[in-house]
Amino acid sequence: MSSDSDLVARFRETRDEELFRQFVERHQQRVFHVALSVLGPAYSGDAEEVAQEVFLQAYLQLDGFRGDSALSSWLYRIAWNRAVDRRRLARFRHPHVAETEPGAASPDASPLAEVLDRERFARVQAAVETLPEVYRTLVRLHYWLGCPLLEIQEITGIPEGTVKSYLARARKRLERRLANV
Amino acid sequence: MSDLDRYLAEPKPPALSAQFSQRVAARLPRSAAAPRSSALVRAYWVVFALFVIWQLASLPLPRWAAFALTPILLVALTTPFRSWVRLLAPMLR
Repeated sequence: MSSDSDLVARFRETRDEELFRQFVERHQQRVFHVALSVLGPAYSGDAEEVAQEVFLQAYLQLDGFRGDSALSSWLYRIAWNRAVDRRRLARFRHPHVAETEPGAASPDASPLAEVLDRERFARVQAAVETLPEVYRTLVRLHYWLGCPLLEIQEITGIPEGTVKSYLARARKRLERRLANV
Repeated sequence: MSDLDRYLAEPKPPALSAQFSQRVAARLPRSAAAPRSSALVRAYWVVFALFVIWQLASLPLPRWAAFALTPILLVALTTPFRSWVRLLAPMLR
């Protein structure tokens, strides 16, 4: 499989959309995950739209890409910025937690247990919302979207060790906040 | 797995739609499908701009105002509408 830079160099020469499609397919999942991790579970539609806009912007600006950083980092940075912009808008449009619900409870759970489960889930989601931007994104990438630390390093550009310590601090904050509720 | 881990892992992450790359492809700007204004249309706009400036010249404006307005009007009236939209869209968002 050719590298990103080869793919983009060939695309710049030929403007062949098939090459761009390959580039999109290679990065779409991660770009979507970056957008999702910033916007949160209630905004998967917005996250997909952001991901589309990211690739459109990349399409228009690929010629101007100087190669100071890896192409993927550049792409994820665009995704991050666009998602943060969208989050500012989204926050005004909808409440942030109400639309999300936990997965199906176990079939033998009593109605009371189910209600308590939903309540705890809502509290955890609300606590995650209060975390600083970076912590919140890392928590969602790792715990919710299941990204390994190395992948998070590639996506965010934050070194693996730092990601680990940020996650530990975020967990502590969450545990403290949930203990106080 | 602690309770916190379990709640943080919920709800099941949504999947990206299968047609994502096709959707992106459909939104790509097509330079061939959107040709630039033809020379005739551009010439029309230049003539129209000159006409407007000629009309303005008959107004009792001070000479400095006419000098200042002429290039502004020439640019404003001969720039394709699409370019203005592209330029102003980020400010209006």
